[in-house]
Parts: sequence; structure tokens; C-alpha cells
Amino acid sequence: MSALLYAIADGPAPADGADLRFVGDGPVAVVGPPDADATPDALRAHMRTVSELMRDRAVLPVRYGTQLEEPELERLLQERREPLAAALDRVRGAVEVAVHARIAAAPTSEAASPRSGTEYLMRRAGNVDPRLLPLAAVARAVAPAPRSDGTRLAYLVDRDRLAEFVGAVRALDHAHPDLELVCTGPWPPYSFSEGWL
Amino acid sequence: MSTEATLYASPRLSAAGARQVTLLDLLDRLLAGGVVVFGQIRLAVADIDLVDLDLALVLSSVEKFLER
Repeated sequence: MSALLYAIADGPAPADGADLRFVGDGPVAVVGPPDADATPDALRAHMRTVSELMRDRAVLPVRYGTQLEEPELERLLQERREPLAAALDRVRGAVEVAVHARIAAAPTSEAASPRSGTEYLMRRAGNVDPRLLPLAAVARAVAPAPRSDGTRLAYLVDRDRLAEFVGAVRALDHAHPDLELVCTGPWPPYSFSEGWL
Repeated sequence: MSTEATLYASPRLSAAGARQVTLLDLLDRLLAGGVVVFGQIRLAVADIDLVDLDLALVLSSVEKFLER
């Protein structure tokens, strides 16, 4: 029987794994019984499970609804062991925070040239309002949020800088009355785990 | 207990608006983010048609809000 895949994570399995099983001996796959139906409650429960895993280990969340037979999963973990370990290293100790900017009016001036690699990446994320650039300085990485048009960004933020990041969002929102900012999280690093397994 | 959390919302937005944005973030992460296993990108659930319909309705209502 196939299992629902929640995440690739640091091993080993926790002492109390509830209904979850941990497959593999390097980076492990965290699996559980398939959901009968993708109700809003099931989706929230899924996110809660991945968030709880993230408390004491690095996780690469897997797109919801992914089911695999266990031998196939073990083969993939073996084949992809090194890139998975490297991807876990990149997100370890950090959480994802989403920032939405509803812009009431277009910014009045063009931004200066990007001053850092992070700023450059942010420009590449789309038509990003230059007034959001200070947030990148508090983050480890920036990515366009899924299905983003440039007004929704995902930031990978060190866990111990989360309060500082939210403070920076608040300060920007207060400084720019025509920006309406919403910041959500902390999420597992869904926007920093993309790629094929 | 709700999973999704609003860390900050502009006081210029309604509380309902901020909640919708937060729900959109939850759905976007689960359904459009994360590691994709080759050949496994369909939603593997029992009642696929209903699921598609429900999620499409939720996403379109949230997007309409965001476009306002």
C-alpha cells in the first residue's frame, strides 16, 4: 500500500512518532496513511504535522497529495541522498515567512542598482516594489511565492531573527501608507524546497 | 487549532482580508510548493472532482479579494 509523503527530514526518527513512519537512514522520508479526502481540516492537519516536524529538525516539505510505494521511496532516497542532504543544510535553522504587498499606488522613483546578491535575486523574483528591499537584509534567502506576480514573496528567515523580520515588516508598513503589508508564517520552507525527487 | 498564522497585518486591511491572505498562503504552500516527486503531481485523494472544485472556489474567491 502506498503512503502519503509529508517531508524529507533529518533523521533519526523521534521517540514518539505518532502515526508517522520514518523511512531511510540518511535524510529520512516522513510518511503516514493517505488522507481519505482533501478537506480543509485535512489540509490544515497536514500543515500542522509538517510544522511540528520542523520544531527539532530540518525539513523539506513535499507537495501535498504525493503518494509512493515504500520500495520506490527507499530507492529515491538512496539515489538522491547527497542533494537532499545539501538541501536540508540550506534550510536548517530557518523558517519560511510570506509577505504580501498590496500597492495602492505605483512607487514614485526607480530603485537604485541592487547592492547585494540577495537584492539581485529579489529583483529577479519579479516586479518587486523596491521599498520591500530592506526585508531581504533580514533574510537568508528570497523567492517568489508560489504563483506569485511579484507582490507575494517568500523569505527564508533564521528562526532566531523571526521577531526582527516581523518588526521590519511593521516598520515598512508604517513608513509607507500606500503599501498594505501582510506577513504570514512561520511556514515549513515550501518555497525553498522545490525540485524533483 | 488553526495552523496558519498571521504574523503581521496592515491596520489598513480588514481582519477578514488578512485571514483570506493567510489561507491563500497555506493552500499555495501545500498545493504549489514543496518537493515534487516525478510522476506524483496529481492530488491522490478519493474524491478528486469535489476536491478540485472546492479548492478552485477557495482560490478564486481569495484571488478576487486580492485584486480589489
